[in-house]
Amino acid sequence: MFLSRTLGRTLFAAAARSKQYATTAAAASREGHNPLQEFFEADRSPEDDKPVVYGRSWKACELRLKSWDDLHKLWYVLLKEKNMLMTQRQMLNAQNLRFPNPERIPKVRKSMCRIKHVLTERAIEEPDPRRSAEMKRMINAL
Amino acid sequence: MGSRLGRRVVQFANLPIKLLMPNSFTNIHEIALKTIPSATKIEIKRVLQSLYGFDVDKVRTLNMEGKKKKRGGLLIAKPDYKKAYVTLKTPLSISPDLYPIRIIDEDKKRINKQAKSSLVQDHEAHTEAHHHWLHDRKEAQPPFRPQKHGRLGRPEGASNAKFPWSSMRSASGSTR
Repeated sequence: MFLSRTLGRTLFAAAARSKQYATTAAAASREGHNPLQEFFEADRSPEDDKPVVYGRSWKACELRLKSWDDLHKLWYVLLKEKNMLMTQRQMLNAQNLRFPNPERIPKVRKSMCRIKHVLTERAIEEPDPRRSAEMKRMINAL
Repeated sequence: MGSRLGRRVVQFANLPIKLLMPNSFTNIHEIALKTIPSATKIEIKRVLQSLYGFDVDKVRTLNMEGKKKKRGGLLIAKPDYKKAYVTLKTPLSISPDLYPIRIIDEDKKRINKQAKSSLVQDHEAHTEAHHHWLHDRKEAQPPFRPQKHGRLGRPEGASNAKFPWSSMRSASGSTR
């Protein structure tokens, strides 16, 4: 009974995930959106006279006000940004060129660490022990 | 890593992906990535499909060892990484005007131009080196003009020359 339920759950989750992936890919191809361009910075133009000013990292007190879904979305936005910056740094360093504004990567990394910290706080305060354990396991895997 | 919170599957992926520079910017069938060694093919495929929306056909991976350098007794080691070659179902293309690509292309062109100009200079220097060292001297010297000699083998303009002994010589000649 338990085995069949678990198996059914995993299969359902896998099916839902694959369906989600398929819809994402289909939507991307339909819109003509190029996923490769997300690894590059399109808006940056170094010829401008004014230097480019970047924002600060997210504070934990700001993240505590966000819902679970908001934190989930923000995590992926930050992950994409981090991958883009690391790609940029690696490409420029390979050609012995200077990576501009290198302080952006620590900002993103700190923001991600703070999201993790806020999620850990919520997992500790969770009254249901089973749910709390699940949350902790998920956070430790990050 | 998937986790079941309530009645839904929550997945917080934390997979660092660095895209390597593609050889061509049009009709890209395969992309090369650098990730952490613990990443699996399935994880890479899932992240690329769900997070970025790639249409992935297959993933091939190979573990690469970071470069090791020894400075005296100190071993400087770059971290190991996993390289992944992702084959796409539909070919993609990117514009060369995107930020790092444009800068890298400009830099390559500038380096090529410098190399070409230095080659030209070297060639000129080489051709100059082939000349004999006396050639320039000869060009610098005035051309040889044969002078008309008067009697006693002296040039004709010697009497008009303003030297201290010219007057003496003329005087001695007059006394004779």
